Amino acid sequence: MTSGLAAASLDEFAFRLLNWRSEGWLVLVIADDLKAGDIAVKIASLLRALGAEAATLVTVTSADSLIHAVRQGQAPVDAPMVSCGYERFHAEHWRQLDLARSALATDHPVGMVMGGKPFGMMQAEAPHLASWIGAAWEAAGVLPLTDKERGARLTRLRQRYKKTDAEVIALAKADRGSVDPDFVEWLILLGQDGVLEPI
Amino acid sequence: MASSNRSKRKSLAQLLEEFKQQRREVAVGLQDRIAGLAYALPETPDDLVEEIRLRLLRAQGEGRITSAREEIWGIKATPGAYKRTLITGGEKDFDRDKSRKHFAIDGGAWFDFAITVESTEAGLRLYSYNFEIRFGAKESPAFVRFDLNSPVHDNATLGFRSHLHPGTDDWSVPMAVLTPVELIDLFTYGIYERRRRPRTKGKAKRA
Repeated sequence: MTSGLAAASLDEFAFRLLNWRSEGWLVLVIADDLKAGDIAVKIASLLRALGAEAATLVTVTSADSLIHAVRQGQAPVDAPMVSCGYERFHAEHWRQLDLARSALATDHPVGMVMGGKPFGMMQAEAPHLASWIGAAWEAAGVLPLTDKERGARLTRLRQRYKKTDAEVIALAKADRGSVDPDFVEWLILLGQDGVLEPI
Repeated sequence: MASSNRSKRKSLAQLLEEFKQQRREVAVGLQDRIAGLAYALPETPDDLVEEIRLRLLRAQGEGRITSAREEIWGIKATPGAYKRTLITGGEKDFDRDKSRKHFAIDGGAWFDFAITVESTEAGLRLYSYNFEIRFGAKESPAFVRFDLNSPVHDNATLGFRSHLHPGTDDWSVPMAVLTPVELIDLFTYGIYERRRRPRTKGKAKRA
């Protein structure tokens, strides 16, 4: 993605949404527009798992439906809310929201989950709303170990067991028995866990 | 007659082999039972990492975990070559050096872990793990480590796939397979909770 935004995993976004104390809503930009709904569902369940039992999820279809959802006809939402559906927004919807942004003030920030296209449209058509947004992240999966971290773990395994990588691979091939978790890790870090028995 | 009795009597080698076979059957039976308990995992390795992080974040919110949130978000999931993923929390630390990355528990204990999961047709399964909680070199035990070795397909192999080391690598105690979240709960609320209770001197008063 070319958003230039910082990356956040879904659980990190949920945690930050739950604990956000500054003004403005939070946005999570995802790579695949079609998955916005699924990801919003997941974030709502993560919020509940973090203790926000009253967390809600809304799928919006227009500027009016978003305003209605957050005002609930009377008072602004006071529990964490996740919103999705921005893929259906036209430029006019964003312009309308830009003018009506004061109606979006809530006691608790709302999480907006959207793809890169609607995020770009929001910035172009609703600049005031975009600047009012508290923070935006790009959704990221769980990261793998960096090369440096992988190297450090391998070095400690070699030092601990006083064996070379080749010896460990040969042992795993020869041994039909149970393998110690450190040796499983060692083989995975080498990309050689194919020599291990499947479950 | 005497020669007939001698022929019926088993040789020492035969008796030893029978004894080994009996031991093997007992060990394999116990191993199958304690390592065969049903457990539930999320669908994917990423989902499991999220579940672990949520548990740690909640424990941190309740003051049980004192590590920074960045340590919790630093849990990594590294794919292997065969439908396996290595999930690591904290640094590899054979020296039990507290300056290395770990998860700190309120009161001074700390832990790290490495889990390998395998994606199978039946869903995500635990392939192996080690979780080690440390209490400090002057404590007894100084550490407790929960190990799950890779699956055993050869029943002639002795050894407990799931076991714990009670402060020494030389001793293994058979142990049920626990899920990562159960182990984290045990570390954050179970083991240490008991250790924190003040020890009473002399006879305990009864109500």
